[in-house]
Amino acid sequence: MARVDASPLPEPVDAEAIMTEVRRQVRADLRARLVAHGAAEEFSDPRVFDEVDGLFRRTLARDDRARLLLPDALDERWAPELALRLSTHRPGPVGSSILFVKRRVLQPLLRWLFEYALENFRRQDRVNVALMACLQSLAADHVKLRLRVDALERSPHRERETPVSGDTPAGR
Amino acid sequence: MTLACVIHRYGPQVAGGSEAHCRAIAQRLAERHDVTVLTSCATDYVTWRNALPRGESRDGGVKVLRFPVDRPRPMNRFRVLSDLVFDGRATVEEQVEWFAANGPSLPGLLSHLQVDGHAYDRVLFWAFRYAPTWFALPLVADRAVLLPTAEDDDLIRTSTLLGPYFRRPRACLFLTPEERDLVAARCEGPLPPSDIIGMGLDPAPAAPPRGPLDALGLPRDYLLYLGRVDKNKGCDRLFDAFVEYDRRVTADGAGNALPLILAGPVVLPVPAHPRIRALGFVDDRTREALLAHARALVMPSPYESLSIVVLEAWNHRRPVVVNGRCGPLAGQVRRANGGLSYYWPDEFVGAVRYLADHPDHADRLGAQGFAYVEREYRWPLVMAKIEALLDR
Repeated sequence: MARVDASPLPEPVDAEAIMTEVRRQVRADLRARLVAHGAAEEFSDPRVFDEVDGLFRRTLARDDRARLLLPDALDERWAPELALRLSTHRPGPVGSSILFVKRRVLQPLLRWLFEYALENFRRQDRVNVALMACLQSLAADHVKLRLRVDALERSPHRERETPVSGDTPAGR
Repeated sequence: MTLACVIHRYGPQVAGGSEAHCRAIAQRLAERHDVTVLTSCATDYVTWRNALPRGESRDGGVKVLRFPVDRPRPMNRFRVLSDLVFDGRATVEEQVEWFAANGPSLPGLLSHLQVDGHAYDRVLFWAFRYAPTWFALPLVADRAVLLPTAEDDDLIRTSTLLGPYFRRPRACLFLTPEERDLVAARCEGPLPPSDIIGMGLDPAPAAPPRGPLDALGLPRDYLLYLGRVDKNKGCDRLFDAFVEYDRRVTADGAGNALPLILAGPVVLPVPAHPRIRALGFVDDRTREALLAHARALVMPSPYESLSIVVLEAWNHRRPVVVNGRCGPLAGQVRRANGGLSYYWPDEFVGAVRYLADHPDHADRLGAQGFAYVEREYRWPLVMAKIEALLDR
């Protein structure tokens, strides 16, 4: 990363101004790296990169699953079940004994494996939520744009711009 | 006034933010009031094993009543309950069981407050997540002052018991505006009367000598992490971000590559890296010298209700680099204008490079942090707020 220039700062030093400049430089370096690795088509225009990067970061900064629409549309429970609730179908003392062995012997014995899996499930869960949030943001933008396009196409101004038959180029 | 302070562990030998906060305030309250600390015989917050004698002792002007822990933390059951509670799938009974399993279990303390609670004019409770505060506060709710030390973590997001609980105390004392907002958002109905007190600090000793640092062979310039080296404190991500910082500075061949010095008990494997050094627990003299001579203090924790060590860095006029995802940390830094907040590893790299390359600006940010401590966190101001709330 190129170092951030120490431009003259007003008194007192403004921490937010410093971080704004640091962030700008960080993004510029990141874009240069991505373009160098073959993302020139998407990110040759810095404005496009800034918009895309901003969208992702804004979305990822809010880990708020309560505002997501997609989970409601999914049939089954979408989030990984991160807690293990032990049970047995056998009734009476046999069932109690089985549960006792599961809780006091097997569960502590296998705890290391459970925790290893749990950490991976948690990571996947975070990715799922992030992707859903990004998708929701893109879907909302897509719908807004489509509505605007529809409105433009319906507007009288748009109709006046439509070529009349006499203006149609010959041969069409 | 006759006051009681309820805390899960207590004493000079006990490390921990809430515990240090309680002890500092209890000792200052004891200058004007009759103060009794009600606590456990434990020093280990994981097992709660009894380590100190039960009964009455003195800590300066404070009377300390220690109650024995009647059972160690049931580790396996506690882990299972934590999975359920943090996943938001625990029943009400399982949530109550979680608070009991979190411990320390002190039936003697509960009986004491049930029988003699009326003898205290006010009972101050620290840290709602621990069993003494959770179970004892309702016994003396009409005279209870709660210092929740709440963090924006899974417990506060998922537990359904907190809404009614936060309404119960007579008053609340918060460490930051962010903590107050967090509790207010979870509280069913309006918050009890409250104030934001933070933590009091005495002026730092002027220019502590570098002697202890030279004895350890530490470099002149370094980035400091002070506290428990733990995943819960964000240290795993700090290591990743620091290694990336070092790689980039080295690759560029320009600029000042700061080493990372860690001081505090280590409970997370520290990567073998030529510019990361873990000192383990350090004495007070070394601690003060480390703070005074650091280029900056880094605080990567995502969960804090107040970072005392950030205030201590400012008290030594040093700037801080904090995890901006932690609301109270970002808020502290914003109000003080005393450091840089990062959200992403790239921003950490940029922030540290900036402070390394611009020592004059780093010093000025530290000085602005110091001015903030002078404005907000000196003991007379903090104690005046507490006294005003106790009188209400």
